[in-house]
Amino acid sequence: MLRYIIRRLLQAIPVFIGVTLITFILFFIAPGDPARLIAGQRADTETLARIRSTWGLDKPLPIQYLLFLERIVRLDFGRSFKTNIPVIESIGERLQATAILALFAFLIAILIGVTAGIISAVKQYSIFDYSAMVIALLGVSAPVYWVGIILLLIFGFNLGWLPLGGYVTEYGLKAVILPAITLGTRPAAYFARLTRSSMLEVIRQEYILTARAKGVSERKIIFKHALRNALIPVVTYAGMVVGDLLTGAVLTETIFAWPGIGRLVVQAIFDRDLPVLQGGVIVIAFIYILANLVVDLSYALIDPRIRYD
Amino acid sequence: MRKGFWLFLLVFLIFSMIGSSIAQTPQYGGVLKRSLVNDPPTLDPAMITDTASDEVARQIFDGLVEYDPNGKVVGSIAKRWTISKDGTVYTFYLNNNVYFHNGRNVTAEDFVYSIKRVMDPKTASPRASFAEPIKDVVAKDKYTLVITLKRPFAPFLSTLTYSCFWVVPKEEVEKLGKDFATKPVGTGAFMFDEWKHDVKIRLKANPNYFRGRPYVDAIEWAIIPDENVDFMNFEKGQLDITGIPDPEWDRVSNDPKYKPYILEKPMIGIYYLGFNVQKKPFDNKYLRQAITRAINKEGIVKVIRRGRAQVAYTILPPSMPGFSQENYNWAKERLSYNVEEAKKLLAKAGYPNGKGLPEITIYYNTSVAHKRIMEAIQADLQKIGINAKLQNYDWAVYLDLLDKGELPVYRLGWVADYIDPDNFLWVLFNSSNFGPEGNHSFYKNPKVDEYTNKARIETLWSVRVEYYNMAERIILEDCPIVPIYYYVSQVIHQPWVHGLYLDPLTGLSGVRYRVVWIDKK
Repeated sequence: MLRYIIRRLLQAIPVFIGVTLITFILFFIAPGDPARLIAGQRADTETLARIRSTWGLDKPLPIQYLLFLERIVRLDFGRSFKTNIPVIESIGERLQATAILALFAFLIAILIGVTAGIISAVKQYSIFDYSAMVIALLGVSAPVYWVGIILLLIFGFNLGWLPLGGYVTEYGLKAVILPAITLGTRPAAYFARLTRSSMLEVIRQEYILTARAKGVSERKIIFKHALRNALIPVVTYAGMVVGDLLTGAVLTETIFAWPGIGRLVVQAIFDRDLPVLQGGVIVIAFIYILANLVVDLSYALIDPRIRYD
Repeated sequence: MRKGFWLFLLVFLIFSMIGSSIAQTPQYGGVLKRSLVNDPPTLDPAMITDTASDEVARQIFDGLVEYDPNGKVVGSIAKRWTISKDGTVYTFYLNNNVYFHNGRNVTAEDFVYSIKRVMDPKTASPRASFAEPIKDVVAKDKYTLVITLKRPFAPFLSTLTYSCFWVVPKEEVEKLGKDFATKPVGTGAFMFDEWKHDVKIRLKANPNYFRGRPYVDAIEWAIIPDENVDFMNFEKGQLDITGIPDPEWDRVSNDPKYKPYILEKPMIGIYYLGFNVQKKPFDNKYLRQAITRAINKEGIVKVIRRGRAQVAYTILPPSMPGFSQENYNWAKERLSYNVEEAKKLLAKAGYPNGKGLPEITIYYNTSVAHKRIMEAIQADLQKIGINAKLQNYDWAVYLDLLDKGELPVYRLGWVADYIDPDNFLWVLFNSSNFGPEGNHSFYKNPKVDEYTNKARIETLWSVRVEYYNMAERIILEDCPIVPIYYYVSQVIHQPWVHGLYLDPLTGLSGVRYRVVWIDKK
């Protein structure tokens, strides 16, 4: 198992180099001069030259890339073109915020989605099943921005129960409730649909029939025999969801003024802030690699037939 | 009974007067709550180019001079100054009771350091060009500063109000290095307290401020990227001052609860459609004039901007000193919306009813608000037979293409950096400023060059105004740009906020909150 983990982590190195190289190439292919954005709408050529020289943007591209790799080896992501703040500091702050939001959104998605999926499958064609699946369909279809604003209007503005955006340092854990629901709604809906269909497939298997014939209790059949086998596709999806929640929460972060990494990276794209963009891309790649590794490892826990050598 | 009534009335009036005088007497205390759309990129005066940074840093730092609420240059740390007859030597006499937030007295040497820091290539200040006219800066004595210019530069005093000339303490800049941008130390009415990136910035009152401590104990800016959520926070009383989103404007501006608390002020800024006059077919003056007359600016301001701007006819906004009413009237008569006249001009340009004119592309930077305005222009042009399509790019790409002169018809806005016609007419239309330096129309007219160059070095205001008026008239006739509207700043504040004003240049982001007080219980 340990050898497998080490092998997977070593395989990640070319992935990191690949994503940074692709980001670097795309960055310089796309029009837009970082120095120009630092200087503002009006800038004289002398000032632009000074800014380019300060940030090393006047060096040949291969040299710039090699210097970047050299810094990365020293775990130095450089400083933001726009704010002059060390990238590692900016990403560290935002990653913490993103992790809090993603954790709560994930818990909401798993608890609501998987529970609804199991009940819907066990009570197929019941009112609960129909209602849950209609709600799940709405959850999948509803735009994140709309869900967020409606939740804010009802619970923040009209009822005044929860803050109108803001971070946990200002409002405590109350601040995370609405953004987590907003972010967790869509994955919860997917989890519900996926768990239901996966459970329905499993409970029609012959070994379930055998268990019933042997007089095993319904609860034991559902949770011990059916759910465990039905979870494999759900866990696979959960791995992708964790990656998405950690990296793709830009809209939720914007509506709720949440200081997450999604906003940071998207803003870096618009600002042509290469150090922040590269740092963000590396962190996002690492998150995806880690999430996939955890998913792969969890297969062995769910299904004893799977072994890693 | 009658005596009792009069006694009651007298007591009532006395209490009302006391109550009202209490409400009108500035009070100390409280926290002023503001918001910003983005985290400010920097609080280092040498590096500031955006309004968010400017609004926060303006409370922390002071310069030699500043604008009063009417846009007049008044002393700040400099109590008075003299200008040599030839306009090249500026001598500033400083207040001797100004202290940095670290407790050290501010001297002329601090200004020498701060100005030379902006000029130093190592600083890579994006506003180094503002210091270009400076030949030398020296401390004549502890509180006397002498700035010598390479040549007379009439707007110089006005440019000194700009953030890059605010004073910074050498020891703190050197100690903190690049981190000075996030832990600034200045002389201002408020001192840096806390910054949680993308969450909030907090400044606290400076009890030793040389003009007396500010009224409020602290200012907090929450970072709220979504304007609808921002306004919800205002309506719930969690923000004291904010802007009004377009979708809310009709409701809010007509609500008696909010109406008395809306502040409006024209800004020295213009929204315009520009042509690259060196690109065919826009090298044709009559075509540019035809397009100018085809655009229904009044309709754009009334319907799309919901009246939240002023229709523009001239380059210089009415609030800019040197604005010419004569030019305004002339342009209003000769260049305002008139479909029939536009068709005649189009025919004169060689394209009767648009025949022979290829489809044109109007470029804009990505934004819903710009898109709606460009769509209106597209429809207006269709009426005279010009087919136009729209193309948008994000700001970085857009700026790049504009600089290279690759956008034949583009939209742009310009808000003055300093209050002087030079910052409009020389920057945007002098041929020495092609591309990134401001002249995105690549417009060249020898007379305009001559007048705007002469006006820069002329020290007599009345003569300068003459030059600017003549230059503006030529530009208006040549139509390298179509002025659409002048910006108007509109903000709303809570009833408990007093003393708020809007800066003539940038509206809310130019306000110094030291004069604002709150009486929220």
